Amino acid sequence: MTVTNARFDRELPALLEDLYLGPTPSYRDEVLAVATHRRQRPAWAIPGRWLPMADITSRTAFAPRVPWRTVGVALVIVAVLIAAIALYAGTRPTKLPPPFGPARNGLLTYTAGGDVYVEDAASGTVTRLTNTPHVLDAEPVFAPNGTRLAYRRPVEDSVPFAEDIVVVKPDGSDPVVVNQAPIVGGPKRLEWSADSTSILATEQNDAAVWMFDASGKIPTRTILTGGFAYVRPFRPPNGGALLIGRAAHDKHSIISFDLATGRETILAADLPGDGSGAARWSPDGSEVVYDATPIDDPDSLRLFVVRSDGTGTPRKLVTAPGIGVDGDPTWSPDGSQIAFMRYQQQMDLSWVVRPIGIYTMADGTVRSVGPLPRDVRNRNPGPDDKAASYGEGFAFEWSPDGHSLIAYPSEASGHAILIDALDGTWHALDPVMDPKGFPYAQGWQRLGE
Amino acid sequence: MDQRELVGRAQRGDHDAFATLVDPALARLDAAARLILRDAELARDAVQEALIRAWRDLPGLRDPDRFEAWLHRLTVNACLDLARRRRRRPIEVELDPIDSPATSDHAAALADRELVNGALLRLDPGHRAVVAMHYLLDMPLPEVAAALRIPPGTAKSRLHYALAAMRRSVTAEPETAPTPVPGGQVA
Repeated sequence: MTVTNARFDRELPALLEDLYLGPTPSYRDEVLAVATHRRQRPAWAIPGRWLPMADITSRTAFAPRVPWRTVGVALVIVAVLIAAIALYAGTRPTKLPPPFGPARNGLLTYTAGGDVYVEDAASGTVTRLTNTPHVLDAEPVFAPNGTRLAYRRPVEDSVPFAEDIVVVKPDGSDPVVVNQAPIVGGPKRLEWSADSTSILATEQNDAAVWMFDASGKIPTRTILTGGFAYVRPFRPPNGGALLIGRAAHDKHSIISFDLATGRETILAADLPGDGSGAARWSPDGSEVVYDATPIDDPDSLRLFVVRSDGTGTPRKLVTAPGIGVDGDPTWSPDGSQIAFMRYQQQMDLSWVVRPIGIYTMADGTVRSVGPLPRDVRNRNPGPDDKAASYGEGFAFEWSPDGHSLIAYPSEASGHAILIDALDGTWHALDPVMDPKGFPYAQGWQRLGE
Repeated sequence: MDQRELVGRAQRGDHDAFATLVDPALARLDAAARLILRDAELARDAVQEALIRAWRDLPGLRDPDRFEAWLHRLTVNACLDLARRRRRRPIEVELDPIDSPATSDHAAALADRELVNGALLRLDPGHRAVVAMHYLLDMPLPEVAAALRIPPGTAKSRLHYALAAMRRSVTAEPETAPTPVPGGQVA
């Protein structure tokens, strides 16, 4: 070993420059010639960068005379119909069949030092499920029926790096590797199917989505190519469709993918970016919430809700003054609230993290709950605290009963906290656990209703 | 001639002004592209694609002072697009040592470079993009986040994950240098 951790951090920039930075590439003249041989786009042909919206909207429009009386009568009829439908829908029971909707809280699962643990959040009893000194187990997720959990395990000494998917019972017994061959690069994000018989994973470069039989007996299937699955992608109430994304040329679309027919319904198209953001089904499957950059506010990220049948237009949920980021939206199990992470840009252009926000669907109000990650670290020190930034955010998810949120450290190992979703009070859990860099799938066991 | 004037001239179709603008950045763009894609030929393709887009869309660039950041962003996105397109054929190439330091611990420095190179191999392109933008293109994390259209927290998390994974690889690596693997295969 020639590089220590401290030296590595100190010398990385210089090492990278040493490795990669060279003189001006020899292809310089050729690529410049190829590039400038193209015709430039006239400035007016690049909407969003050039055309001021005010100019567009103030331009006189020539249109035929509008029959206002007819339109008015039609609007009144539509309003009456909508009110009637809303009244009818409001009086219907909204109970969802398992594994969707609220459930009793079971065990929590997480990794610490690269081993998988489960913890009874009520009693604080911790059980270690794996003990692998040479590899770092990661991303344990419970099956929706709570009977098993799956996690990723690196294949020791694999070059290139590869991982297996291991399924065990909640006590760590009966481990089964469900993939037939090591997965080069490792799978991205494990998701159990609604019936708890299969595990879905996306290839690291979003090239494919695979379905693994949880018993390891049925060969792996490629469900789709050229796309990726979002967190908890199986559509309620029957898991018959997947929420997927497809990206190309710095744009992405959010799509409902019918597992039986392969039919794709675009729910939101031409969103900026590669689709690294979040999108989730509502617990009843009727809507999808996602984060995206609005066209009229290109420096921000906002939450939108769209109908999952592909009709209607997305509606923006939260608008805070200033340049902000509302991201990682997560529905409460009963669908009445959406928790999300927030950042705000200050006058000096620095970004600051805000407490987790909860949006109430019924009245559109937003409240903050819980502390900031740095406050948790200050009050509950851990050995890796200095590795986390001042602006660290949480990775979080709702408890199965919907009464609380569990918020994990996202940048360095630390203590997770449980936040009361109603009054915002919180307490830290004892274990120092590995960071969860991304919003997570089912880390909290469901125990039925 | 300052950058604003050069951008203005290039926006009006001046090839030489565009070349003058791009020249100082080209070595770093190529370096970032090679770091992300791990393939010199693909890196060249990505840089070319970025320059084509830059030339084509330059008339629409509203703020000339943002030219360099814009070019960085185009290059990284071109790299990620290429990485997605080639998907199942990760190709590893051996990088020639460049400007090797003439110090007494030359062998150790070479070993360090090999270890870092091997560690980068284990990261996916998305994480390598964050490393390249932050360390090679000197972009602050909020700018990295904006370029990749991800929340700042996610950019931080990706960087943290990448560094942690690299540290693990580097400190766990045996003395012998890793063997380049031609043409990997996704399971």
